[in-house]
Amino acid sequence: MRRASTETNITPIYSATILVIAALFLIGLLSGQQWTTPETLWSVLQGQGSIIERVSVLELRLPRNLLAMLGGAALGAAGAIMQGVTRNSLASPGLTGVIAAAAFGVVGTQTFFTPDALWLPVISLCGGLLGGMLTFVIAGRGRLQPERVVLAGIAVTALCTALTTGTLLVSGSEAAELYYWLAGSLMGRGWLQLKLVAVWLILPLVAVLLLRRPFRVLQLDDELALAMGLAVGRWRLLFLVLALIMAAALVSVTGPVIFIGLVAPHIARRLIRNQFQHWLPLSALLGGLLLLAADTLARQLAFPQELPVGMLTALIGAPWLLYLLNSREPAHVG
Amino acid sequence: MLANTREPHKKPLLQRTTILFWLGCGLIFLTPWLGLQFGATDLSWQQVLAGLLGEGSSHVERVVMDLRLPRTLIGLVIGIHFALSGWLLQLLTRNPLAEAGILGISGGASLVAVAAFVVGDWIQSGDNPYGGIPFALQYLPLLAMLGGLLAALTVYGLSLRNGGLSPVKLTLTGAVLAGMLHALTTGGLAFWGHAHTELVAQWLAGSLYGTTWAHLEALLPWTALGMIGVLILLRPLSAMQLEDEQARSLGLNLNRWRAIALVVAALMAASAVGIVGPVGFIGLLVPHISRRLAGSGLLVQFLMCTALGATLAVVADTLGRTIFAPYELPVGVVSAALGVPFFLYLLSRQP
Repeated sequence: MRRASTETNITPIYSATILVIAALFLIGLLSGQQWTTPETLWSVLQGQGSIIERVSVLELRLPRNLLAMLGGAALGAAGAIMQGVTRNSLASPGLTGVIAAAAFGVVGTQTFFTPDALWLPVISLCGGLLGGMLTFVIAGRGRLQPERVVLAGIAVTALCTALTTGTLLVSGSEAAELYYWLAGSLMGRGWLQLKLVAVWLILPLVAVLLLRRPFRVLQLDDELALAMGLAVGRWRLLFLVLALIMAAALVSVTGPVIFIGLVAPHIARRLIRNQFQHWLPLSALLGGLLLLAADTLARQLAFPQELPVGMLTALIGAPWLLYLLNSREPAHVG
Repeated sequence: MLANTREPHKKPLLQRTTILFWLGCGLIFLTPWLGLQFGATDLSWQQVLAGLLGEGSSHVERVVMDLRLPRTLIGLVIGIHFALSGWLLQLLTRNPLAEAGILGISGGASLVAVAAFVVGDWIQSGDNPYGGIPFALQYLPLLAMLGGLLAALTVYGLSLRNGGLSPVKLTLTGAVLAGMLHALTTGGLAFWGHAHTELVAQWLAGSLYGTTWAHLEALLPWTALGMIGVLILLRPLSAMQLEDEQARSLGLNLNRWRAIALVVAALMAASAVGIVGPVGFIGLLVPHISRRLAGSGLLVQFLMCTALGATLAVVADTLGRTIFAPYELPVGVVSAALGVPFFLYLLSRQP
């Protein structure tokens, strides 16, 4: 068959990605205010070592790394889903107003109600859903042009940002803390925060990875998909909701981290060429890799202070997007 | 795009211009009165008058002369700044969606201003939390202008390189850059803002809260400069509205005038950002309304923009002060709430 000759072998890409993630994870465990030596790490993992070493590795670095990996994977998958399902290479949680709206939901409720932390992912989710819906409604029914969706997303983002800023001024003593949160950071996130969002991240992630076949079919023409016996509207909605859940839930603990959901699927698509069945898993992996790398950088670049990881992802992601916008017509996926 | 500005009926124009002129004058004198009269405590008009003439009680005089009058005047001036900047940008790019905020000018200005604030504060980290402000105040418009200009040139260059300057593409490029600058500003402030986070956050919301005569003094030279710039630009601008080749056949160096117009627009927007923070959407809203009202004459449009921009900013600020009193909504939030639906309406009309 011609298949073998035209398609690149995908296994090395997967293994390379996983290797890099593992390496970053290891660096993440070792690095910090005081670097841990590999021997100490080994002894800590066996349950030995001093209290300080145990706490810094097991209570601080490990959950933070896990959160970065899981959250990045969720963002990458969410971006791939949004781009694939809407056939719009610019759709991503950040550019469609989802993240800004989720952030506004969190800031608003934190300011006026001080709810239990358990509810934050739900609140964030409601905000994100509303924001995403608003964007897609504004962008118009029927064929959704990529640019139009993004412009509508920009408008929704502008509105949410203005409202968030306005709310912050009322929130008084909490403002500085919320402001810090708004910069998007993984600093100080531990097992507590990980437990808070793990369900919201893992369940949709597993679900979309299992549902790869309908996802693949959705990327085809609507008519073709219908002919293959797929209820297009319903599946599309399900996928979008799953994507929104992942993106919004992550926002509730890390604050807005933009551009990963945009960049990871694009890199993944470059790597896989035309084997679209691998797009979603690879996007998730690359998302995890990117956020882990960005977080590791954020911890080291301005040592002993930390940079907000959202700042770094914006710094990397925006030029990428500008290049994308100006190099060629934003292509349709599929 | 701007086709709706062409006025099919020429005859009643003079009459309409006169009406508009008096309307504009009326607005620009009446709305500040609202700003003076209403606020945390409402004054009667006699009290305001007495306060202005220096005959009122000391309390009223303080409220009127020290708090509300400078604030209202600054509102007028920044409204003019943002409106004229938006008007220039829309003419320049032939793009109905162009505006300082959307094109990243405000974002660039904010980033540089916050950076200047943080650095200046770090240099002279005194005990007085407001110590850094008077020092930095007169430089802020200049610094902000540099940032804004840089952002504008980046957006313009990126879009130009790509060939056509389609409204949608230019807006997208600007918005992406604005998003990045916003993230950088938030990040920088969160990490190095220290005790001033709240103060600067207030500024970033685009607020007239706590503006004083000193702010007005720092702003006015730039207003004068900008106004002169716009007046000089009026003739080239009207030629720029023609097709490129026609304009060239008139002997106009198009690119040079475009560059000058861009600089003036960035100057107007960014100097205002340096004083009150980014206030979006006034620059989007006002030029459209002005064009509708004024028809195609650029001079009338210019006067209309000035009057309406000033009016809108003061009205938005007065609304923000009174709706949730004693809390204040920053003028930037109010103008965004007014402007976003309008932006969406404009967007829905794009092909």
